[in-house]
Amino acid sequence: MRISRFTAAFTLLAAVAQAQDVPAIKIDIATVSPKAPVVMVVFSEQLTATSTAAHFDRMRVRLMPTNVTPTGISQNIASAASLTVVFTAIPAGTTRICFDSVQFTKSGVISESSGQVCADLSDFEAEKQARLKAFGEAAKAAGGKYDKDIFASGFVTTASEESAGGADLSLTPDLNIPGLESFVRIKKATADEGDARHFEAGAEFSFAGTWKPSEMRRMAETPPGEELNKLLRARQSNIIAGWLVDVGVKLEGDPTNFNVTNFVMDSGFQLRTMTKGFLGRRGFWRGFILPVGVEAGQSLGAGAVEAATVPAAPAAPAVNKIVRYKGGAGLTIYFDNPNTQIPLRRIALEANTVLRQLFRDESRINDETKLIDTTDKGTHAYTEVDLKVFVAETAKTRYGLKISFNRGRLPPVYAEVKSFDFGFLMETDK
Amino acid sequence: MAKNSGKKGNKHGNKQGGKESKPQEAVAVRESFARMIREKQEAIGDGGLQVLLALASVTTLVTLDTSTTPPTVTPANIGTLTFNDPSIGLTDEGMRIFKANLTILLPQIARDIESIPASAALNIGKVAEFVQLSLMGA
Repeated sequence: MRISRFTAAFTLLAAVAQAQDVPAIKIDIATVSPKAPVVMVVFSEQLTATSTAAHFDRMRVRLMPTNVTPTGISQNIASAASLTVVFTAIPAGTTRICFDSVQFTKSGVISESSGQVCADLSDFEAEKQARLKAFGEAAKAAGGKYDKDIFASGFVTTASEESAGGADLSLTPDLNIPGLESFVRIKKATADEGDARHFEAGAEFSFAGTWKPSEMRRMAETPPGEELNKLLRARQSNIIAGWLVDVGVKLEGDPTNFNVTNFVMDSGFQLRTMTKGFLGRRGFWRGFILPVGVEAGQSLGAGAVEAATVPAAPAAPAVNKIVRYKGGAGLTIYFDNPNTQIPLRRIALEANTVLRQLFRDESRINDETKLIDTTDKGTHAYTEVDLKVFVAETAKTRYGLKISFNRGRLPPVYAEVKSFDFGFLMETDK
Repeated sequence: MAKNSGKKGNKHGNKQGGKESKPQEAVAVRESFARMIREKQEAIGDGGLQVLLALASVTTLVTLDTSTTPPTVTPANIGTLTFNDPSIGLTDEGMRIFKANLTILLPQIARDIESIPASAALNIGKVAEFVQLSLMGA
């Protein structure tokens, strides 16, 4: 008797311990379609796609308290956590959906729920709005950029081997206006030939289109199968993925003292390439071409102010209207091999160039006097090449070095830049 | 008078007939409508295939074999990844083109697709679930 009690207690303890080992799973969303007897169920973990798994067994799924079983259950191939559960009808009074058991993966391990997994049916529109709100928060947290590079303790080494501090910031604050994207960009350094003296802040609307939309329409009309595979392969053989048209306004300024500021309407047309994989998906490249862009605006303050503070300096000619053509291109090459034994775990190379043709005289720095006491038209290019090499990483953060080469001139003062920048880099995954 | 009586009689007769036939018609219309919705849902599904087609049309790092049941996708854990994950390789600009592709594949939820932020930091699975929700209400 004593032995059997001991055995029962041991069995109970073992069962409790086993239950504690099973990772928890719950239903995040269970909502009924307003148009059809269909319930969408989203779990907190990725479900297995095994056809014999309990969550695909129609007899082990039911609406409560009406006890109605479904006629079909399917999994979303783009989200293994989501099921579509189809019923012939959803009786009045139904408040809940229950799965006797679900099979799921967590950290690569397949587990079975320790018991029933149930959830109350929620309001359809509220779920949609909640999902959109979550998207907005995720986008805001990311700040519109994946790479959160901090030019920590970075310094600039110019061609003349001077060293100085620098700032290279690109922010995308959220103005909560649908379709409108705002930006703040600063390129500033204290070394003469490393200081682009570039600041711009503004907002723009962006319109996107797909390349060869007829290919997409044919895919929309083709049922799954070999024919659709063929269409997708043809689609993926394209170099260009789509186009973007950006239209916006911005304020340009010399971040040293804002003596030169311009209000500029900025527009551009870009062709973006597909992201093309190489080396068995360990790397990819992508790029863009900006064949045509127009910047037009009004000078709000010219270099004459700075020139006037120096008695010997001649007064700079007044700058009024601004009209520029803008073209450019960019290329990103990326390689990542987390399993490598060598310290080079990730390499990212990014090269961008922009060329501006000025049709009206604009303020610019005089290379001899180092003052904004002259004006110029003509062609001004700016090229930036960034190489990021990551040598160590934790689960969420990577550490490495960034080496940057900058050459050319940027508005509004077109200071000559010839510099190599380098700094430590820390990237976090959002 | 007789004409009026006849009219009344006819009207009355029609009314009686209507009481019997209208519920039947309503049931038939409802069933037909439900069948149309089922057929539409079966044809389009939950939108997961269209999300992956739109994505694979921007990045060759995503591949899809639709001849298997269910379709086979690479990377297999795509629903857990963000659009800017190195194994997907999209930027915010690529995300805009993805949305343009998806709008062609699912024009009936164009307004909902437009409301998705053009941020490559979004999770692909969550976007697929939003598309699924939108299709359920379309």
